[in-house]
Amino acid sequence: MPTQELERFEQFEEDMMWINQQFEDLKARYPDEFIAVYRGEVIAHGADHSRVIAQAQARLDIEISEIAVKFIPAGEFAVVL
Amino acid sequence: MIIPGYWSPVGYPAVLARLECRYPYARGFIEFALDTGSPFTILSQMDAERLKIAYSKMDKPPAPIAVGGFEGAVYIMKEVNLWFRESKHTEKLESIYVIPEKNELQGIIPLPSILGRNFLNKYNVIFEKGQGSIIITDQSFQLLA
Repeated sequence: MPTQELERFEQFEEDMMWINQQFEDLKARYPDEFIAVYRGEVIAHGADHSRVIAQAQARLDIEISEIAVKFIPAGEFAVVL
Repeated sequence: MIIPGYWSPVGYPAVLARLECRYPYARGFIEFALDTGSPFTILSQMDAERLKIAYSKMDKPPAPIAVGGFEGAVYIMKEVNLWFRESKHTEKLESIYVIPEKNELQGIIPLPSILGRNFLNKYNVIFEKGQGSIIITDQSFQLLA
C-alpha cells in the first residue's frame, strides 16, 4: 500500500476511535444524525446520509470513501444482527 | 496473525479494514461489525454509497436473503480484498453481498457493514467484553483441559 494511503487509513482509524471516545458528547450535539469526521473534527452532519457525504466531500481533497462517517443515535440503540 | 478489534459504543464488536475490488471498482475504509450469525460478509447501503459503488455492474444472487430484518434482493461484489493494517493481513473473499441503494430499512435503521462467517470461520475470534478487547487470530487455543 502506498505510504500516503497508509497514512489516510491510520487517520480513518484515529477518527473512528475519536467518535467512539466522544460518543456521549456527540449524542447530545448530533442526535439521530450522520456525522463525517476528519482529523478529530466534525466536518459535516445531518439527517440525510447522502447530503452529509456530499457536504464532507466538498470540504476535502481526499475521497469520501476514506472518511469516517457514522450514525449517532439519540437514545439507547441496540443493533441486533 | 492478530487482527485487533474494539467494541462499538452501541455494543457490537467491530474491526476496521481497507476494502478493494476491481470490478465493480471500489476502494475505501470500512468499519465491519463482527457477526458470527451471518453466513455472509455484507456491505451496508451507507458504506456502498460512500464508496460510490456502481450497482449496475453487479449481479444478484439466485435467491433473496434476509439481513437484520431486511429481506430482499442484494447485489454481489466478487473478488474482494480486505486489508487489516496492524496485522498487515490481506483476506481475499470470493464474494460479499451489498445492500441495495433503495430498501425498506433505509432511513430507519442504519445497519453497519458485517463481517460474516465466510471470513470468521477461517479464524478464531476472541471476545473479552470485560477487558474491552477483541481479536481475530489464526492461532489456536485449547479451550478445555
